[in-house]
Amino acid sequence: MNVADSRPVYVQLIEKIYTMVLSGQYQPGAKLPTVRELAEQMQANPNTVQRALFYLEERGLIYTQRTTGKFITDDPAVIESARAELAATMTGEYLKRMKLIGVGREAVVRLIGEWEDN
Amino acid sequence: MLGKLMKYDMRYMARVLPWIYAGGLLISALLCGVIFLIDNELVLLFGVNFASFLFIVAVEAVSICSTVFMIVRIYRNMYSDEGYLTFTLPVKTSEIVNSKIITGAIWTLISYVVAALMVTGPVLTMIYKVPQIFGGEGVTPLQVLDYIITFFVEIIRANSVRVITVIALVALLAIVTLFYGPALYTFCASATHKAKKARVFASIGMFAGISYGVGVVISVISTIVNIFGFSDIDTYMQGGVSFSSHTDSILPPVGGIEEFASSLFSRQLDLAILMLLTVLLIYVAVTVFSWIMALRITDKKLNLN
Amino acid sequence: MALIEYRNLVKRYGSVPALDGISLDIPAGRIVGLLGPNGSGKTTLIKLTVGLLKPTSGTVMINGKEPGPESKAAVAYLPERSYMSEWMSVQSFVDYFADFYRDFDRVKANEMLSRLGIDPKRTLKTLSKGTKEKVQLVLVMSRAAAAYFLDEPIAGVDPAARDYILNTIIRNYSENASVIISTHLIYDIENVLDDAVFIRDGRIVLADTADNIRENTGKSVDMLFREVFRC
Repeated sequence: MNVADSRPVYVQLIEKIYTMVLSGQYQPGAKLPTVRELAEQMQANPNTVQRALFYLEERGLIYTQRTTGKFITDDPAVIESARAELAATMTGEYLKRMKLIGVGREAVVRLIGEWEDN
Repeated sequence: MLGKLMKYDMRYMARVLPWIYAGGLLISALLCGVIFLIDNELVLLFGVNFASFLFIVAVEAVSICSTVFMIVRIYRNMYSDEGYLTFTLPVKTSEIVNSKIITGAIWTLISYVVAALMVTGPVLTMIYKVPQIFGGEGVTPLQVLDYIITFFVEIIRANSVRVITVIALVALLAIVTLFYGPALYTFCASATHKAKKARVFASIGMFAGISYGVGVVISVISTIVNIFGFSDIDTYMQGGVSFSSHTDSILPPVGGIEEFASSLFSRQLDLAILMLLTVLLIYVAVTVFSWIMALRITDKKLNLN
Repeated sequence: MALIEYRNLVKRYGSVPALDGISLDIPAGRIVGLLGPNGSGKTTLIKLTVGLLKPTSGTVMINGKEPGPESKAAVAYLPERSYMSEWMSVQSFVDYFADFYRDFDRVKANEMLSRLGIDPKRTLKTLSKGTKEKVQLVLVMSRAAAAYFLDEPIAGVDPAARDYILNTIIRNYSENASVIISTHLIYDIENVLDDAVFIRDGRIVLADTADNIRENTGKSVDMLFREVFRC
């Protein structure tokens, strides 16, 4: 967890788990580690982890099977919509930052078009 | 939980004290051996005089070493960093104090037994080897022993009530002194625990100081009592029955023992009873005061640095 | 009734108030940071809770009772210093704890010690300072206490050991127990905290959840601390 990031820890956790699902680190339908294991992995407070998972469960990204544990949804629609939402947020932030340094929309579009991964 | 605390306190003392006692007993055995083996009477008497002096030093040393060790132990366990563990154990603070004092008393009892053994060995060897010191010329060891026994039997027969009182008071006194030392140094350690520096020395100093003070008081009282006693011995010496013509004999002659036992000695016993009562009171007072203060300080005024 | 309740707790040494009226509730299942500079009263507050000091006025209650043998059986304390006698072996300490504390889990302690590579037969005198601290931590965390008071558990400890300590705290978490960590090194532990209590000159300056602090101020607890306690 990034301490320099001063957003609430549960917010950071939510983002992290989303990223892991969307990047394929957690496959759809995969079983999540227990709250305690997650807390240990991320060096975060178990209550905070619980809060993040609760939020994600409300959004449908994870579901609980009472005796077995928590699982990532295998509904592709949910995952795609999460992907779209996160992409939109990140784009918004990016554009805001570009505007801050004086790079206009057209210049941004051109940059993206010409960009080559090296 | 008191039992548990005592178990660990006893165990801790058992790491060091038995070695001190073994050392003392060894010295005592050596002295017995020396007395036994030397045959030249002059060398023996001279050597034994000197050895007795050293021996008394040894007995004192054993006593002082065990006392200092016990004080340091109490100090460390209660008022050094270890105190952070001791005083957060799920026990009453009174149990902590009581455990220290009671185990101190038990080890003091052991040290008494050791001291008695240390002294009895050489004395018996002396009686065996040089009976004339005790009974005058031409006397055998068995005669000395027989004589000592007769001496005491006669005194008891003539003064049974007084003797029983004396024995009871001595027993009580012995029991009280078992707790006197431990209670006093637990109090001293507790009283000095908030000092900024040299706390162990301060508590040892306080202990020594109070013990010395008590000793002075007792000496003063015993001197006063003895003044009354001496007047009787004076009468005894001048008037009636006199001691044996051999001035190097410690005991009065067998012939005069009944008179000695019934008349003079009864007065001595009365004075002894008076002394013992006073001394007993003093020790009980100091012991009870120390114990209560130690309990109070640990309960209300605890402040580990 | 909260697990631990402080009501107008005052502790004075002579005329100097080390604690000047502390009122606070600590419910069960929380990891609380007691945060403040040196001399702010953190250690005094812990000592009062743990029974090493008596209050001048006010009360501290653990499960509704004042500090005493019962509360000491329910509270685990890890002081800043080493409180074990040097001549004892690690194993004899495990036995000692098992003897006095009914909630002590001997199996857990031995497991943790072996995972740390600490030979139980060694005497404490032969261990390095860091290893001794780990032994103490293991003993304290092997108790199933209702409250754990850790006084500066990560100060003067290398980063790997720091991780180990934090992971042990997380792993040990139970919703029936609370952990109170007193420290001035907030950066390292802030993600583990539920609640943060800022204490200065014997008074509580701020008491809130870590998440609230971040949401309301937009700053991390560490950043806020630096502002509040700026010299």
